[in-house]
Amino acid sequence: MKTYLNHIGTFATTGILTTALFIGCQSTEYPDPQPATGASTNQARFLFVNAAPGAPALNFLVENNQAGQSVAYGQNSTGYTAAQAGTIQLRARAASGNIGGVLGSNDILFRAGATNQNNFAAAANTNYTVFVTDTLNRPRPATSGGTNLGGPQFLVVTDNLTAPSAGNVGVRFFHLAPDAPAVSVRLQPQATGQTTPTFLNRAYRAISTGSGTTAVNFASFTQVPAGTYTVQVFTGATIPATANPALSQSVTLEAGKLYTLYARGLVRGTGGNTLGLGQIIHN
Amino acid sequence: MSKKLPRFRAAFLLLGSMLVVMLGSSGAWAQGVTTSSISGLVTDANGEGLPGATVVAVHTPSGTRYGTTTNTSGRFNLPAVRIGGPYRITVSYVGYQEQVREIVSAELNTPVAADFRLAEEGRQLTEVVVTSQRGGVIDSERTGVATNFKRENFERLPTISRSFTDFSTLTPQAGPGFSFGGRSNLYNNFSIDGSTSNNVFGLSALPGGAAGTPISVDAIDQLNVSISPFDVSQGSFTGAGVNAVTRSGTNEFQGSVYGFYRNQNFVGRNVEGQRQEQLNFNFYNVGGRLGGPIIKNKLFFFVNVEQERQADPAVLFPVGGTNSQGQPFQQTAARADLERLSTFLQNTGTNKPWTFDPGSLGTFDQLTQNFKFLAKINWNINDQHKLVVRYNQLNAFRDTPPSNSGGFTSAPPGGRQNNNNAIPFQYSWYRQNNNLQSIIAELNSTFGNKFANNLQVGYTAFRDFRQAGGGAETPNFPLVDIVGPNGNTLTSFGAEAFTPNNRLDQDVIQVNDRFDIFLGKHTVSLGTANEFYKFYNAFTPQIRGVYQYNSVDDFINNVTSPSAANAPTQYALQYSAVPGTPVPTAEFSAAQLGFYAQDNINLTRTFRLTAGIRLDVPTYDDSKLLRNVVTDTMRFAGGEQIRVNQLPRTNYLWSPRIGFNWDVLGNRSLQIRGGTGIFTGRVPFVWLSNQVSNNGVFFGTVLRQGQANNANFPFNPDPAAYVPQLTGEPGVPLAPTFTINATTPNFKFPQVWRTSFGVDKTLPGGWIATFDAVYSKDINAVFIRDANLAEPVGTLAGDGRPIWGNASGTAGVNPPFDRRINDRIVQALVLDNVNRGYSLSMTAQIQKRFARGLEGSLAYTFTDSKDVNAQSASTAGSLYTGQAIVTSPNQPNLSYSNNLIPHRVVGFIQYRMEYLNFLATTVSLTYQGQTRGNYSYVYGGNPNNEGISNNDMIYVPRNQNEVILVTTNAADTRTTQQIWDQLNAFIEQDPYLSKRRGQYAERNGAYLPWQHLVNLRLLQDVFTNVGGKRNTIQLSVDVQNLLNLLNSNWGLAQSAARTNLLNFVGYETPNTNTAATTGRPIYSFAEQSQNVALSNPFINNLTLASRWQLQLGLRYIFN
Repeated sequence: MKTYLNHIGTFATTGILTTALFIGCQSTEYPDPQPATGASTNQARFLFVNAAPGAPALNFLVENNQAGQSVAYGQNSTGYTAAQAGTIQLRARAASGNIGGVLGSNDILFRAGATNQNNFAAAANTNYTVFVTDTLNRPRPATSGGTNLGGPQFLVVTDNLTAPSAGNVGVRFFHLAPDAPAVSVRLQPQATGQTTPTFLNRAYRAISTGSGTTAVNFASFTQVPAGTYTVQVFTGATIPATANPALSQSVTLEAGKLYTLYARGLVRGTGGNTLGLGQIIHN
Repeated sequence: MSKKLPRFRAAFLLLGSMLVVMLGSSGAWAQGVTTSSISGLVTDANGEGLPGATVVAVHTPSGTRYGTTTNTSGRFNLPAVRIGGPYRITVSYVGYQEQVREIVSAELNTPVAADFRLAEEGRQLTEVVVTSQRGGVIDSERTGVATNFKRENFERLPTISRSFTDFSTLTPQAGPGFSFGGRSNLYNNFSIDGSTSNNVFGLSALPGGAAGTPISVDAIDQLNVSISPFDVSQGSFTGAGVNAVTRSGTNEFQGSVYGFYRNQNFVGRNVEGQRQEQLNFNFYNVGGRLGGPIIKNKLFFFVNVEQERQADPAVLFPVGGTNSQGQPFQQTAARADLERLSTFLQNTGTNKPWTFDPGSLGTFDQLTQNFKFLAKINWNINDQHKLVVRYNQLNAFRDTPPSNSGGFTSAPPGGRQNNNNAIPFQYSWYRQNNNLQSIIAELNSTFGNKFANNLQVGYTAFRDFRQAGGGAETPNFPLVDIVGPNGNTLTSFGAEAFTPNNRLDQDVIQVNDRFDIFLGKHTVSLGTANEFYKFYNAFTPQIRGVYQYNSVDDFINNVTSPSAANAPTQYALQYSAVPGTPVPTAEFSAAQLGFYAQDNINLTRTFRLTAGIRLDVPTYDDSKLLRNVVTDTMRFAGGEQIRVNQLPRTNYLWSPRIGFNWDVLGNRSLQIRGGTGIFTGRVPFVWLSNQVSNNGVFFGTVLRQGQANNANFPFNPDPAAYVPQLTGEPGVPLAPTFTINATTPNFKFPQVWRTSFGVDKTLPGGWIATFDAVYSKDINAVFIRDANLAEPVGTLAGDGRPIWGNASGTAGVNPPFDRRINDRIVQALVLDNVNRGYSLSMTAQIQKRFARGLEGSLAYTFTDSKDVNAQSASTAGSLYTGQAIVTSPNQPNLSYSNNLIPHRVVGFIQYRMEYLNFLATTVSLTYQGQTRGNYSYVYGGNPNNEGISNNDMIYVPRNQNEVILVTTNAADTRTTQQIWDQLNAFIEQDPYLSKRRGQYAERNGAYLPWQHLVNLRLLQDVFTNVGGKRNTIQLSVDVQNLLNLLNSNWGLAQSAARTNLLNFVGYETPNTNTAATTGRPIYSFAEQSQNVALSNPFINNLTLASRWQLQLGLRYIFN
C-alpha cells in the first residue's frame, strides 16, 4: 500500500510539473518582421574635385570605399561613384604621405570632428559634386566647441544632370579661390550674334544667394548655346564697363554637355597655385 | 469626486461596525503571522479521542503558559504561541496518567503537531507512540511555497551588509533586488511583527532606500518568505510576503554587544588578474541587544540599538589632480578661476550687496549612515490573553552628489558630478534622509477551547526628506552651472535643483483582527485586515532656478555689470502656478480594507483542506486634487477624456483560495500539498501620486536659452526674482507644453491567480526532498499608456514595425501626421490594467536540519516569467518609456520579466562544533549560482519616431541586405563591408543573437553569464560559565565572494558590453511634415575602441561585485 501511494505521489508530481511546464509557458509575442529582400536601391552619386591650392593629390572615399584615386589639384575624379544615400561620411586622404598644413596627418572629413555624428546626409537618387577647397594653412576657426579643424575642407553641391535642350549646354560657376574677393563672370561668345551669359557677384565658396522667392541656387546649370567662349572673371559684384578681367580663358562647350567652371588658385599664388579656371564635364 | 467621498466613509463605517461585532463577541484565538501554534489529538490506549482532557503548554524560557481542553473528538489547538522554545506540554485527564512532552521549538507560521496517547491510571501503556514533532518542512498546515529562516541562520550564515536581505535571497525563488518568482520587487509585502514596513509609496522596495534596512538582523528571531500562502488572512502582495518576527525577552537576561568593521584593505583588488584601484572607505556597524524579564513569567522586554556608518571620499577628482596621462583635470587648470569665484561669492563688492557660502571644494566624507532602535514588551496578561507591543525606528541618510539632470530642459554639458572636468561645491550636494517610526500592538486571546482572537493595531510613519550636503539647510539660492574652457561643466553651486522642499511623508495605520472558531474538524476564521494610508509628497524641481554661464568671468561680470556679452546662456525656472501655495504638494489618502472568511477542515486524519475567500476594497480620497481646466476639455486617443483630479473608483476585489495538505502515508514521510486561488496586492502609491503632482497645473516654467534672450535678465540671488505674475486661477497660465499623468477610473490593484503544488519526502539519513511548482497568471496586471499618442502613420521600410509622425509642438500643424493628438500635451500617461503576464517557478530542493551541528540545503529553481510591463519603476515616465518594444508603446509585447532568473542554484551549509568546554567554532557557506540578469538589445535613438529613445528592439539581420550600415563618426575608417563583417561576427558569437536571426530581439531575451557567488562565515567562540550564564566572546570573519579570494578568475560578475547594439542615425529619406519616410533606417555599429571591433558581448564588472570583501566582527554574548 505504501509503495503504491509512493508511486502515486511520484507520478502525480511528475505529471503536474510537466503539465505546468507545458501549459504554463507561453512564447514571447512579437510580430513577424518584414525585412528588406535586397540591397538598398536608394543611392547617391558623387564626383570629387581637388580645388585646394597647394594640396597634394588626393584619394577620395565615401564611407571609406574608394571614390577617386590620386586626384591632383585642379583635377576631378573620373565619373560619378554611387554610394548609399543617408547619413554618410566623406573623406579625402593624401594619395601618398600626409596632407600637411593645419591637418598634418589627418584626413579631410565632412564636418570633421572625431565624434561628430552629424555627418553629411546624402539624398537618394541625387548627384553631388564634392570640392576640396581652401589652403593647407587655413586656421582653425575660434568658435567655441566647433568641430572645424581648419585646413582644406569640403564643399558639396547638388547636380541636376538633366540634359540641356538641343544645341545647348549647361554651365555653372563657383568661386573657389580662397584669397579673392567676390567675382563676376562673363562668358564672351567667340561667335557673333550669341547671348553673353553672366554669373554675377559670386562670393568665395558661395553656392546660393538670397532666400525664399529671391533665392538663387548657384548649383543650377544655366543653358547657353554650344560654342567657344572666353571666360572672363572680374573682381567685384558686377561686370565693370572697362577693366581687364582678373582671369580670362577660352573654353569650348559641346552641345548636350553639362559644365562646371570654377575659379581656383590664389591671387598671390605662384607656380601651380596662380589663379586659374577649373572645368568639370559632368556627362 | 463628490461621489467617492461618501463611499470612502461608508467603507470606514462598514469596517468599524465589523470590528465592534468581532470584539463584542467574546472571541477566541488566532494564528497570526507573528506566532506559531501547537495542535494535536489526545487519545486513550485504544486510539479513541479523549474529550475534555487538559492541555497546558509552557514556553519554558519565559514561563508563558497556554492552556486548553480537547474537544469532543479529542483534538486540541493552541493557536498563537510564542515562536521559539523549548516547550513543555502537559496533558492530563481524570483517570489517566499525566503525560509530559518537551519539544525543541515552535517556528514561525509552521505549527507543531503533538499527539498524545494516554494510559489509564495504574496501567502501563504497552506502546508509547511519540508523534509530536517540531514544526518543519513537513507539517499539515503547509500548503503553499514558503521558506523560513530562524535565529541560528541569522547568527551563523554570512552577511557582510548585516541586512536580512542577505538571508531572504537564499529563498530558492528569490531573484535580483529583493524580488521573488520573477515579479517586480514593488509587489512584495514586507512586514515586521505583522506591521507593514514596506515602502508602500514605492520609491524603493524597502524603506531606508540606499541607506539601510529598517531592522537589525540582531533583532530578528525568524524570517518567513511566503510565495503562495493559501491562508486568506495573508494579503497585500502578488510577489512575496516577507515577514520578520523580532526577538522577545525571556526569564533569563540575554544580551550581546557587537561591532563589525571593514575598509579598503579588506577588499580584493584583482578581477581576472587585472589590478583595480580601490578608494579608501571605512564601514562600521556597532550595536547591542538585551532581553529579559521585568516580572518573571509575566512581563518581558527586548531592546536593540544599532548604528551603521560608511564613509567614502566625496571628491575623487580634486582641484590639483591629473589624469593617468599626467594631464591636469579641467578644475586643476581652472584653479585660479575657482578660487576667485569662491572669494567673490563670500564677499560683498561693487553692485554685490549679498554674500553666499557655497561650501568647500575640498574633499569631505560622503556618509551613508543609519541608526536603528527597537523595543518590545511581551505581557502574559493571563493564560488566555497575551499582549505584545513593539516599537522600532530608523534614522538613515546618505550624502549624494548633485543630479546631472537638466529637468525640463537640456542637462548641463558633461554633468555636475565630480569628474575630470567638473567639481561641484559642497552645498550643492544633498543629503537624502529616510526616517521611520513604527509601533504595533498585538493581542492574542483564547476563550475556552472554542474561540480565539488575534488583534493587531499598528501605526508607521515614514519621513523622507532632503537637506543640503553635510546635512545643512538647503540654501535659498539659485543653482548656477558654469561651463569651463573645454565646453564641459566646470563647477556648480547653490541649491541642488531637485532638493528644495523635497519631502515624502507617509502615515500608515493598520487594524487587523482575526477570529477563529474551533468546531471539531473545522476551524472557521473570520477576519479583517485594513490599512489606511496618508501621503504628503512635495517635489519641486528647479523651483529656485538654474542659471548656466559660459565662464567664471561671465558670472562675476553678470553680477557686477550685466550685459548681453556676459549673460547666462540658459535660465530655467519652475514655479508654483497655484496662487497662495508656494510649494504645491501631492496630498491624498487611501485605504485598503480587507475582509475574509475561511474554513480549515481536517477531512481525515491525514488530509487537511483550507478554503476561504477574501475581499479587498481599495478606496481613495481625492478631495484635495486640483482640476486642470485645459485638459478637461481635451479628447485623447479613442475620444478618451482625462480628469487629472480623479483617482480610481472604489472597487471590490475578491480572492477565493483553496489549499490542501495530504500526509499520504500517514507517517509524515510523504506530503503532497498545494492549492489555487487569487492573490490581491497593491501598487506602489507613487504610481497614483504621479497623477496628483503631474496634473499640469502645479507648475509653470520659465526657460530662456541663449545669451541674447537673457541679456535683460542678469543673475539674481533671489530665487523668486523671475517668477511671473500669477492670474489667480490655479495653473493659469499653464506651461506651453506639459505632461499629465492619470489613472483609468476603474483601475484595479494587481491580482494574480496563483496555483502551487508541492511534494515533500523524507529520505534516509534525515534528508528531506522537496518539489515545488508555483504558477501565477496575471488577472489585473498594470501597464501604462500614452493616451496622447496618435496612431502610427506608416511602416518602417525594410523592417515592418510601425512608425510615427513628428511632434510639431504647435497647435494645428498637420494634425493627421502629428504624433501628439493634443499638441500642448507631451504625454498623457494613463495607468491601466491588462490581463496578460504570468510566472512559473519550479524548485527541487534537498535539505537536512539536524538538531545540532550540521544543517544544509541545496535548491535548483527554474523560473519563467513574462509580462507586458516590468512594473518596476516609480515615475509614470519611466514605467512608460522603460519598456523595450517592437510595436507600439501602448500595445507592449509579452516578453521576459526584468527580474527573471531562469535557472538558479542556491544552497547553504552550516556547522557548529563545541569542544574543550570553552571553545566553539562555526563555519558556514552559502552558494548562489545564477545569471547576473537579463537585458534587451535595442537601437540607440528612435527609429520608430514615437518619441522615446533607446527602447526599440533590434531586428537581427540574416545578411547584409537586411541592414544599412554606415560609419559611426568622422573618425571611423571602416568600409561598409568591414562594418557588416564586424556586426555579422558579433551576432554569430553572441549566444542570444545567433539564435534570433531573421527576428526581432526580445525584451530581456538575452542573459548575462552566470556568477558563482560563495560567501563564508567563520565564528570562533570562547565561552565560560559564570553564575549559570554562559559568557561568550565571539570573533567573526565574513567573506563575500570567497572564490575571487582564491582565484581572481573566479566569482566573476560580467555585464553587457553594449545593449544599444546599433545606433540609429537617420532614414534614407527624411520624414517630412506631411508624410512619413519611405526610406529604410540607417544604423551605425560602433567599434569597441578605435580600430578594435566589438567582439565580446560581455565585459568584466570591475566593481566590488566581482571582488572579495571581508568583514571582521567582535561580539560579546551572555545568555
